[in-house]
Amino acid sequence: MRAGAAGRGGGGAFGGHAPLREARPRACLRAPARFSFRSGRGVGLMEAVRADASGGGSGSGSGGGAAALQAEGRPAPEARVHFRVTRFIMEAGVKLGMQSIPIATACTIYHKFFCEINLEAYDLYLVAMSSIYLAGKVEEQHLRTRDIINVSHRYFNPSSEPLELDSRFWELRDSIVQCELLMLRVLRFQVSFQHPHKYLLHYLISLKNWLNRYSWQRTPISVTAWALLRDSYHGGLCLRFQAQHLAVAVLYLALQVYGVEVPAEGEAQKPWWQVFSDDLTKPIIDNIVSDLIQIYAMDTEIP
Amino acid sequence: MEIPSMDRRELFFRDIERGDIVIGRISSIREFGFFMVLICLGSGIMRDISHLEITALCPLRDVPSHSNHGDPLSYYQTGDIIRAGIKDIDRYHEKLAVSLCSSSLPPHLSGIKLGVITSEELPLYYRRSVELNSNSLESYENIMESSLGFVNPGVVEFLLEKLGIDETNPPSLMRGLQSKNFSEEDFASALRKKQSASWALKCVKIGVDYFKVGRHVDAMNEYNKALEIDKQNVEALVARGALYATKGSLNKAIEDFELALENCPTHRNARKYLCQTLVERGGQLEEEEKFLNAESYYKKALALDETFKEAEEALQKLHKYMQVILYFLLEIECCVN
Repeated sequence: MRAGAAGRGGGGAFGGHAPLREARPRACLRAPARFSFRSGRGVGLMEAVRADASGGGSGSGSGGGAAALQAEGRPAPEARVHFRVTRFIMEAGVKLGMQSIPIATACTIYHKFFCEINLEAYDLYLVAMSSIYLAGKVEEQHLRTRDIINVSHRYFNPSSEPLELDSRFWELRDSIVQCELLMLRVLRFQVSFQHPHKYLLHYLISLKNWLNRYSWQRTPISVTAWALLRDSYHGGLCLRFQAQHLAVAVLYLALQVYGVEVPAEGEAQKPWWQVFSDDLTKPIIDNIVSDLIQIYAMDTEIP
Repeated sequence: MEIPSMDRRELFFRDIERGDIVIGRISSIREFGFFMVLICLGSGIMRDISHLEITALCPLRDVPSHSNHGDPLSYYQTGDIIRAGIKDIDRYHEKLAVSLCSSSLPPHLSGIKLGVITSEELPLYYRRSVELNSNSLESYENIMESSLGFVNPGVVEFLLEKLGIDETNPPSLMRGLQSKNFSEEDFASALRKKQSASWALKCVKIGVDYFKVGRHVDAMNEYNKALEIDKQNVEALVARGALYATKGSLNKAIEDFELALENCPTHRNARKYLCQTLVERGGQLEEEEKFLNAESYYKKALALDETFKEAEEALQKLHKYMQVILYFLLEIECCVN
């Protein structure tokens, strides 16, 4: 069910795509590919993205992970591309007034989609916009396509006039809706996820009761942990680790960053993070933390 | 975490503050007050202290009396569950003094009733921990996931509020995502407004073209379309008002003009048309002999635009006419008398 070597196409011949078994009308396939939002014209989708995915490793034939690390520990070039697009998702999410959880759903949908689909098959930003739209529907924070189009258009053409109600607008809207349908089929209609946010909030409340109230007030632990969790969606952490583990690791990192010690940690028989999640081990926490730091390192490298 | 009791006691005495609410059971009553064993906490830090066997003393003077005579302590019995506020802490000797007077509580908690409470009023976390003790194989995770509050979809917002995290300016540690760098104009609602205004304007232009060639119905349709897109669009309101005035429905025209002026008080055309329409309406009322109404309309027009000649002239004419009538009426009265 992976994209594999077959079906890597420029421009629209998607007949050989392994995961999409059913015969689908050509128009439906073409529509998301046709309108590349970023290059601003009607056809020719991927030239812009190919220029972006720097280096030779752009088209990875192994239809595997979207944000996998290479052997030397430096993030793969696709990871950078995904970083940029997820940054777009998060910024658009803030401007649209989305809550944290729908934004997280949008990023997860995006990452999951590109685990199965080849990077070059579709316009990344269109996929991002559709995942925002889909996530809004899933998490009951419905967004109008008009708003999504406005915000994205402004993102790519800063200080431009709002779009007029012409055929281009309707085409864009159509392509978002078509892409959404495509994504649903690729993800096999499994688009609701368990997010670490709920777990993190509960852990924060429990920890707050355990810590001295003044040290809690002095250090903004909850805000930092929340920010770390939001930022972790730039990479594919949500797909590789369990939600509870992610929540605990984020909390662990937040405490370490501020140098706050959990009271009586030395005398305890069981470490505090084990209490929150039984099957968590220290190596898992270390993995998550190092992945998070990789993401922040990417932030400094990419303008 | 399975920390030894001594450390937990130490931490408890380090972290407890004056004004916290504690709940305990009376263990013994003396003539100077009563002792109680704390079983859980009601505010501030909510911890599990039932096994620590911490006792507190409530002196007699802090027990409010329930009747005018007699010993206030006779109201209480050993084994009662009491809610009290911490009054004094001796951290070194690990002694606590509590009080049943509401003055010992901080202002934001002063609504909570102190004194005897029933077991239903015990805090939720304590009741859960009592159930837990009978079945100690449950882990934090299992209990959390099986509790009803966890699956409530509103739990995230509730807890965010409790922890003080703000979703409207969401925090981030990325350089590019700092929300103060986002300009207000890029937000979806602002863009939508601008876009609605420009779309509505286009409709209005088409409508005005129809109006000029005399296709009034089509023009009205366009104006209504524009107003559907953008309810407060000033141009659309003014244009629609002009159309109403031409067709003769002066009242509707006046409404539209006034709405337009509310939204944009400096709109020249709106003001001009409104004055003209008011004067016209005044003229209509004069013919129907409703003089006072007419007068008020003329005055309103003058209030809006003092240099409006027609309104002034009409008003003066009306005044003269009214004077003449009054004069006649007086004359007739005199004659009759």
